[in-house]
Amino acid sequence: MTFCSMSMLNRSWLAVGILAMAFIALPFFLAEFQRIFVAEILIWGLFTMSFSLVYGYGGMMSFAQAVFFGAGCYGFNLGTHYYGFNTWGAIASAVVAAVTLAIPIGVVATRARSHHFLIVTVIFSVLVHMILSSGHWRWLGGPYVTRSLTFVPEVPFGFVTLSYESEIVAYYFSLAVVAAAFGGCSLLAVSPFGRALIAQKDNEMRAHLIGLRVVWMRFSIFVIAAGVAGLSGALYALLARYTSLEFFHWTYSGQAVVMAVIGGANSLVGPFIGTAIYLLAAEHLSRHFESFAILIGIILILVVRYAPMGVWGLARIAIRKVSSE
Amino acid sequence: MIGFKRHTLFIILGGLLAAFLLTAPYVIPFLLNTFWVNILTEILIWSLFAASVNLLFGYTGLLSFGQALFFGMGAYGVAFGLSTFGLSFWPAFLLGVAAATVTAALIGFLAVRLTLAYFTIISVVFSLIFYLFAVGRKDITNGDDGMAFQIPPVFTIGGWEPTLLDLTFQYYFVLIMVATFYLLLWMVLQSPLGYAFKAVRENDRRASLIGFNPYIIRYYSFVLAGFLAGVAGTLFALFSRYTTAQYMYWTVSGEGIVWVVIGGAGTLLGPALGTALLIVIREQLSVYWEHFLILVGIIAIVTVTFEPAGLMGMLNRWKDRSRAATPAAETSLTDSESEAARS
Repeated sequence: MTFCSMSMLNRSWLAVGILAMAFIALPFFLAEFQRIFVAEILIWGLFTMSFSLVYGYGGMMSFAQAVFFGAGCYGFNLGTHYYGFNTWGAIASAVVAAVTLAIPIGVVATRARSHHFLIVTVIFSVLVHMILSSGHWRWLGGPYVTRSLTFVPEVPFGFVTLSYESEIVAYYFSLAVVAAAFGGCSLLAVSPFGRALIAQKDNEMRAHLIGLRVVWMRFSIFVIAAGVAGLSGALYALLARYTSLEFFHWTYSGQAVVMAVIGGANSLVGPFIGTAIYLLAAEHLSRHFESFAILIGIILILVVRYAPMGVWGLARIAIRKVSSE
Repeated sequence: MIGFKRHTLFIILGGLLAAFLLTAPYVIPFLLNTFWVNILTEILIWSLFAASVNLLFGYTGLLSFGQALFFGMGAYGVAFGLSTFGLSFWPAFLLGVAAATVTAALIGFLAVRLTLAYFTIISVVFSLIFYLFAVGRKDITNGDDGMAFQIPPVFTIGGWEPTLLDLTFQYYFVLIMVATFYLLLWMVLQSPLGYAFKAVRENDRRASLIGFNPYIIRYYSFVLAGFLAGVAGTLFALFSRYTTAQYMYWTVSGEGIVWVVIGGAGTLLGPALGTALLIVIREQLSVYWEHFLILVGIIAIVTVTFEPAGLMGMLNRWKDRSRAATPAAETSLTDSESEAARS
């Protein structure tokens, strides 16, 4: 059986398998700090993917994703601090915190369309950030704008408990959770719900006429994406062992938008590629080139102008060409 | 008949407002504290800034989070003109406006290649680049501390040398400038170019099919908006005798958007209305409540979600609804009028 005669489905399973093995083998070729860096890319990638759920599937340019990331961070931190949850419980409380915040915001915001949705989400994230850093919410934000974990997180698996002291554990746990979330979202994307979302994104009126409940769908994907952003916030709190009110700021949403667009906002793989490009560029270029933002701006213009499907879109076209020859 | 009354009411209210604006420095001391003359001056300047945001967002469909950049360029132009180059009043004024317009003309080439949210992001990126430069290069711009300067007399006729230090003169100077540029904006919006802006906003593909080049139209709008924001920044620097990097920060642009959205995007006077309302709220409320911006945010969210046309849209609908509700009365009135005219 040649590679070309394999069906599309088989080939993508093969790709998934190779990718999984690559990620499992990766830490053995990297230094310690690089493992953490890759884990960070995965976590921010999950955050960016949550944005592309709202934007690429829901059609809503949300600048409130950072609020849910921050809610996840603090949901995790406060779950361990006030309630003494273990890691699993704290992750759950992080997702619950993000979803709880997303429901009222979503009810109001998803009524607005296009530019108005953007303005509403920016205002919501500015409001949340302003209220939390106003000094009246110290029980939540901590005495300063940051709050650290006071212990080394441990992940209980029943018979064995793994400690985050070793960055191999940090890497594999982040990888496993991100992979699980990615798998879940991929299933969502190919489900009838995912297809209906794309239909309403392309033409809301037509989707409405064929009987889809557009408003309800927009709200649902908004809340689901908030949950995913909260999950990534929890993973970040686990990895970095500190949380900052800064994460609520909408500039983090803006960063996610840029990452998603560079990678390809209409897919779930693209955001991870975009995040990797962005973070690697930030890590290596900002050292030599002060005005790093200019470079990102130029890349953004080039991508939106000449490759609106992003890097992943280009890669897919290339793969299709190669395999059809 | 009611519709007729409402229409008349609007004209009367407009006349009263115009009369108030023309006599404000003499009327306000009787009614309120004198410092409200300065607040009114500030409202006039910021409403020009809001008009520039509105030209892009309300008329051309480009949501810019970077208008503060051109505001700041105007302000820095004045500051450099007066303190570094030692220019007199009008050359410094022109330098401020020119700095903003040239920046807009250069950035516009790239920025209006993008639309929708991508345009929004690129406008943030550009304003952030300039902001970081202004904050970082303390040796040139004095960063966050800002540049203070002396203002020379506006003109000299014989022995009369009015300066902006005279509050009444300053008010009339700003009023004349803002009114002139509002008139200019109105004329542009009435011209074929103004209709082209709206055509591009509504549907750029159709606009290009009837012969417009959406890119060029957006570019014109972007440069004109940069010019107006530059004038506002120039006036504000002269008004406060001070320029700081904070004028370029995105929160200034954000405030402009909030004013436009609350006042009514896509209407000529809506932005001015929103600016006036929110600056009065700021002056009244910030004394009692440090976090009054929370209220502003809530007002903005409620407006955008439930009344996207803003306050001006509400007013216009209220005015027009009565007309639509009594078409018979209107037509009979005009019929009888025309008959009267004929006989």
